[in-house]
Amino acid sequence: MRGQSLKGHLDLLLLSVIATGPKHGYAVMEALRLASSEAFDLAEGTIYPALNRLERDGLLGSEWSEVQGRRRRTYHLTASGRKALTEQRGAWEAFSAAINQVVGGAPWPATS
Amino acid sequence: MASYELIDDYLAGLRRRMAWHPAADDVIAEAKDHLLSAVESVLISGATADAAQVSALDRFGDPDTVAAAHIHTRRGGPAMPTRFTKAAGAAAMTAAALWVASAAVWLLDHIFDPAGEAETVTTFVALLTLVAAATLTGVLVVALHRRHGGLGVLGGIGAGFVGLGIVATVMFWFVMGWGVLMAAGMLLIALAVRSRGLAPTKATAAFGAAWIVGVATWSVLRLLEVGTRDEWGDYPVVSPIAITVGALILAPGLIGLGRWLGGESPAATERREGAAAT
Repeated sequence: MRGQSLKGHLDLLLLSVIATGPKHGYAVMEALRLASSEAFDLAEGTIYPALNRLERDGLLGSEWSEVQGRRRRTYHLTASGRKALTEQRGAWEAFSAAINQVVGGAPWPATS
Repeated sequence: MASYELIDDYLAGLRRRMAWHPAADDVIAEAKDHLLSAVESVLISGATADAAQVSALDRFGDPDTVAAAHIHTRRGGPAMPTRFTKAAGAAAMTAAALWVASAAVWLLDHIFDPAGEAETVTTFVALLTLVAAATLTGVLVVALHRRHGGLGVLGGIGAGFVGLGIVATVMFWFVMGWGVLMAAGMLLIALAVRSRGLAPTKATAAFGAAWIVGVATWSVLRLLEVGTRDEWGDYPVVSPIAITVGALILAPGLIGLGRWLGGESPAATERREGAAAT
């Protein structure tokens, strides 16, 4: 699945992954990759602006630490982030249920 | 710690592209941690150090894409090509033609009326093309501002000067002061654009230098008192030559910037926006 398909959904994916516990960027990407069975094809370096923006919006917090001689930033969900995640999950479930109702039962492509 | 030359080269390139970013050190530190974590992960599977670095860099994305993803508009979205910036590309190329045409007509006007005694048709045409060229250049400036998600204080001051310069071409076209305003404004804008590292370098340089050179040419020729002196104490041949010099430097800059903006598809950038996921 290419980056364009993720437009509008990555916030939910990032919040969901970080909700399972604080993670640094690479760990976030690995969790996304494993949880999606490697379905998402996006340049890994481009998730950092999204993480930075979620932090600016107060949905994520972060701490710097030093690991093996290099600086590492670890992100965690804030109370606002947890609330936003609940809202976005609800919206996504309603949206996907509606889509499934429309396309789920019908054969595609039509053969007759 | 092991040394990874490919990663180091990549990070150096990314740092060059991110020099404008207020938190560039943090961006590079996160990228370094990510890439080295990825390399360590691949090495466990038995890959060579070079293969592990290539794999990590391939997954991370090319530095242009990563740097561009960090550019945001004031509203929080990524700075990206739009239908406006694409149209502004065509406007910039039209402006290039108009600047050269204006310069050519100024020269013709001087040939027909060397003493500058009469307001001829060529004077009117020269003025019209000059104002149109300056206005379309203003459209380009707005597009550059939007394409970069804002150009900061430097770009803002530059845009203010260019705006005043455009007004001055209408009201005080006969005084080279408009050229000074355009020169200062376009130099500041070019510096701001260059610091973002998105636009083509040579075109940006030509854009920034054109009216500096044009005004300098005017000043030198005026000091040397080139040509005949008119009743107002001016030297009528000086301005057409200065405008020609400025226009000939500006035109390739406008064409380069125009081709860049016009060549970017909004749809292609939506993909980048998706990849940036902002």
